[in-house]
Amino acid sequence: MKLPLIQKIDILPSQFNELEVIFKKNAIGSGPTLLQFPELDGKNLGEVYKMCEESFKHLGINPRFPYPTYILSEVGLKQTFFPELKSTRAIPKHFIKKIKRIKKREQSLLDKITTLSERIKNHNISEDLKYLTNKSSKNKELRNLCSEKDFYLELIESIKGSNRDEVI
Amino acid sequence: MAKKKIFLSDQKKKDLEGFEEIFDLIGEENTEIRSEKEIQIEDYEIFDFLEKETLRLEKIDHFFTTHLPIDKRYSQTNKLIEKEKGDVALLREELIDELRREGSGLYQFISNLFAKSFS
Repeated sequence: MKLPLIQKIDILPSQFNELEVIFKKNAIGSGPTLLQFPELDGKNLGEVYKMCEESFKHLGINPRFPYPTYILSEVGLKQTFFPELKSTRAIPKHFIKKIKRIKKREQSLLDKITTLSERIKNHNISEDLKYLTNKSSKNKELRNLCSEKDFYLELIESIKGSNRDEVI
Repeated sequence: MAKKKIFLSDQKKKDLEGFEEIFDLIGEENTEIRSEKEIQIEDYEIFDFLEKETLRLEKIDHFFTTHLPIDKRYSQTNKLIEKEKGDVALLREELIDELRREGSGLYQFISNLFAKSFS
């Protein structure tokens, strides 16, 4: 396995029919990737992203775990499948390093990383992420109910307090 | 053409401070002067990155294998939502009882309103 450092892939309009081939060839999912569409503007990018999403689903790659696959887009896209970056400057510095020849001690760490990333790939990540999304909306519902309860408690307390004052 | 690299110790580099431009004049083109410390830092850069990366992946794996299954099996969110809904319903009833009691602020306000409007 090569070092999991960011790889940038330029996809031209002529290559849109062979997205899956490009993704397989570049081993997307085995390392952080930035997909760039240099000849497209924001409007057409929406359609291309859908094609990419379908390819990812077909290949069983998750765009967030174990490694992120970013889409470069200056204008925000209405999608949540891929993490987006507005410019190449926004790439996490963690994934940007000078490529060097790997030493023995580094190779053992890299082997461990390979095992771990394969383990993560074996999880049913898309189902787990759906569960987490659902959980987050339920947590919001719970938070709203708690704040509503607090409001009523304060209101009742203040009403009772004012009644007590009147009696005195 | 590949850059020619000259490696200097920290002490030597310190002694030669201020003479960098002269090196450019007398040295060959594409010569890069680097200290031993810089080389050492670069050596550890990849190792450090790989260690951090291992830690990151271990945490993700731990989350998916340990935390999430426990949360799925013993989630309390639904029960808490039910409990809070019950509490809110009771408090609403209590609030309505308080407000419709004779002598309450709302009762007095509406009485005044009616008195002013229809007298």
